[in-house]
Amino acid sequence: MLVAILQGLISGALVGGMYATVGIGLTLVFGVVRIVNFAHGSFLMAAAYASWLMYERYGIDPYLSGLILVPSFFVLGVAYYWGLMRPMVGKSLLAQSLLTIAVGYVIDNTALGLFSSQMRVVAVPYAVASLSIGPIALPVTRLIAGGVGLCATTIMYLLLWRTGMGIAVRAAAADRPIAEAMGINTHSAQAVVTGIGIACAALGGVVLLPIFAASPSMGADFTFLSFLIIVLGGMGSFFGALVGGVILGITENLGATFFDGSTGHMLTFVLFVVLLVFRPYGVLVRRR
Amino acid sequence: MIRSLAGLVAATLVFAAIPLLTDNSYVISILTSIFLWAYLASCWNIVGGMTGQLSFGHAVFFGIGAYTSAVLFVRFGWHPLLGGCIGVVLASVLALTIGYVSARYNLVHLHFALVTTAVGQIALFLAMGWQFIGGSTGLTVPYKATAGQLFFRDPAIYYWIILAMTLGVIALTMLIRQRRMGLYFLCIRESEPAAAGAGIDIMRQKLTAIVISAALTAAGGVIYAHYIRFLDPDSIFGWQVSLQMVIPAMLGGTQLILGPVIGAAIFVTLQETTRTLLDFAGAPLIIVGLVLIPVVLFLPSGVVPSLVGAWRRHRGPIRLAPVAQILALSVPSRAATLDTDILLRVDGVGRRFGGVQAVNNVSFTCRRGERLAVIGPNGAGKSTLFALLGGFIVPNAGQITFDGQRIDGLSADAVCRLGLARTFQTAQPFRELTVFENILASAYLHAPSHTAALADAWAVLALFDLSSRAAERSADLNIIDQKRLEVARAWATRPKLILLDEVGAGLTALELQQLVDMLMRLNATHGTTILFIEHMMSMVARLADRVIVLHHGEVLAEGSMAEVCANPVVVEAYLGESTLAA
Repeated sequence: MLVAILQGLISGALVGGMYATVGIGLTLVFGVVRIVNFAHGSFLMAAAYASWLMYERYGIDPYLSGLILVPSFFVLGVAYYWGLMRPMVGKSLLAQSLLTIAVGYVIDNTALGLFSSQMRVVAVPYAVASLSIGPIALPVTRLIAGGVGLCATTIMYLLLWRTGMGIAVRAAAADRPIAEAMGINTHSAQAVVTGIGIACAALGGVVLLPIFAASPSMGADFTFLSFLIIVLGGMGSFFGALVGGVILGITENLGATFFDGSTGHMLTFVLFVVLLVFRPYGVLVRRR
Repeated sequence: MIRSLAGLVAATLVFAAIPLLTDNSYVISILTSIFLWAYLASCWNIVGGMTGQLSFGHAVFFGIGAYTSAVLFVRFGWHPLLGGCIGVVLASVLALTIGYVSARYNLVHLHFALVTTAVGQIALFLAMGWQFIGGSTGLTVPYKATAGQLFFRDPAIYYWIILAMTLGVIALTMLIRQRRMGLYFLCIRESEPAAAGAGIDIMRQKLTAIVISAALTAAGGVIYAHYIRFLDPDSIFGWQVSLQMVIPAMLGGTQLILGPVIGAAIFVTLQETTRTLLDFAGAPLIIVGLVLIPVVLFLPSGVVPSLVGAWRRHRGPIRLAPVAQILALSVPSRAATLDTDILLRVDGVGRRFGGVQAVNNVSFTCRRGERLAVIGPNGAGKSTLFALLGGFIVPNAGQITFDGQRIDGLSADAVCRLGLARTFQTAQPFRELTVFENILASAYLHAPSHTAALADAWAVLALFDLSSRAAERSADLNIIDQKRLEVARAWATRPKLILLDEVGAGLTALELQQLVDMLMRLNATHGTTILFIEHMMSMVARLADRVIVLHHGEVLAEGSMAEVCANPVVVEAYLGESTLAA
């Protein structure tokens, strides 16, 4: 029993590290561009399918495909900002949500049409391998997810808090007109942030593919999951998303151990409502 | 109103005649689908479009209606309409709960959208897991029922029922929109603080909107269950279903009563055409997405208003209806002889924000009919003091008595109803509403009837010289007119005391003179007490009977303008120590 809990805790936290990266992607875009991207999970799904396709067709290892996919999705994210999000800055929430929902529709249903609703798995040999530490067995894929998540988060932290670009981005997030008056090209900053956000989603898709599987419903699932993470951590908060991702990874894993998947899933939404009501700024912050 | 209703009925009759002209069941099923989504989107629009609370979980109400009626009928043989009524009640109760919690914990905008989304997902999982109502395999409503049990062999009958319901909800929306309730809904969408400032009970209006919307949506679900006769959780409670109520409203235009109907026509036709033309699983929704993106980008208010707007521009500006004669305001005029009657008493009031004591132990009184100025350097706590008086924030200490009644702790709208109205430092008009509607929203507060409110609103417009701007969108006014509107709107609530927060800032000398003259006139003819924050000393000198100086959240000095100006402490606070020493 204790071993099962410990096992669930650690392996949940490992996946949670990757969830955190995905959540940070959404929270960055929300915090800086001030647009809610309901297509976030759809980008993740697109990357997962791309990775799967590269494995199926050309036998490219899923993690290697990430080296191509993550930068491409960064470019895609920048284009997404310039093409679709930029005109939406400062528009009504309804317009913003529907635009990103429409983008999600297009991506999700294209995947449905191309790949059907079947689950697509990558059958890499190391998918079943695991590392044993005493009685606890940790799947290699989860260890990689945790490691990559941690690295990605650290890199983003250094980028945002230790570089001039990071200061520009945070200034743009704090007060766009003033940042512009100080000579900061806020649109470039926001485009870069959207690129990073979408790249985070892509990274999530690639790294989580060997653990789960690609399916069209993954898009909506991960959009909800990302929202849950950023609500847990406080919307727009970088560290909050980190904590939120890990908490969620653990809850989901333990929930799946002790309840069936569907109930566990439902409980996360109940948690979501309770948090929105009582902790609208995240578990770490008291009501302002 | 009568004419548009007649047009509506005529249009409905034309659509109702279609099944008589064709036997093509495909055409009927498409039309049924169009009007079903038109109905549901119109229901959604009452809460989503009018009050601006974005519900992304309306499928819950739809599903409760559908499932309650179907399950009670299938399992216990209860009459579908009886089950339907129970479903409508259940949906209303849930809506009341969601609405109350959201309003109580101030879940607006994105938070509201996320909460409703989550409630929708919870309902979806519950429905999938509950075998009694069919679980994830779904529930079939048997075809052996009778016409009395909502089973009709002729699909045209379902079409007529849904058409009639659509007509009903459109007529209801028109009625709401014409009356006080609709205007209040729009005010809340535009600006909640300003709505509270106009005496509107936000919680009550929000609850009304969501309950009406949810009950109607559930009723739609009841009919749908017996039309489609097969319910499965995904196609009833799915997030998709909620979005299908939002998208038509957005496509057609949320501001327009017929917007959701036209949007639904576009939405359903697009999907059906794609389905017949393209053999690709996700094609219909891809096309919807591809159409929705340019609509949101280029026609942000929806297809219909954008086209109508283009047509109107082509035809020139709309002409105003003849203005009703200006009526004397019914507030009894009283000479502004300063009696000794205390209207407002502030007693040791304090308010702390974290480590900052914004207002500290402030005490003063204001006599009935007095013109009292509050001055002080920026950051002195003047606006916080006004927010405390207006009920926008609750004091940590002290008490406020207005007209013999304790008002600290009362909500802003309650304070306004007692006769204490305020303006905001940065003008907060209900941006999308016309100037006239802005005033009307306030005029409703004390008007005995709709007609009286209309007359009052025209009178206030004339008084503030805004009649020529009546039909303009208030967001289009220049800053000066917006400020005038701000004062006019506060005035229209017929306050005993009006709080003016820097209304003189940015005005030219002439405009300032006009403003002061007008305030003097209001004060003299109606005896309205004026409490105002001002940096424009010329205005303070001309208008104020008495001046209070606030500094670091405390009352520094009090007295006539001359006394205050001669007070060395005041000079020091304003100009700094060095000036005094020099």
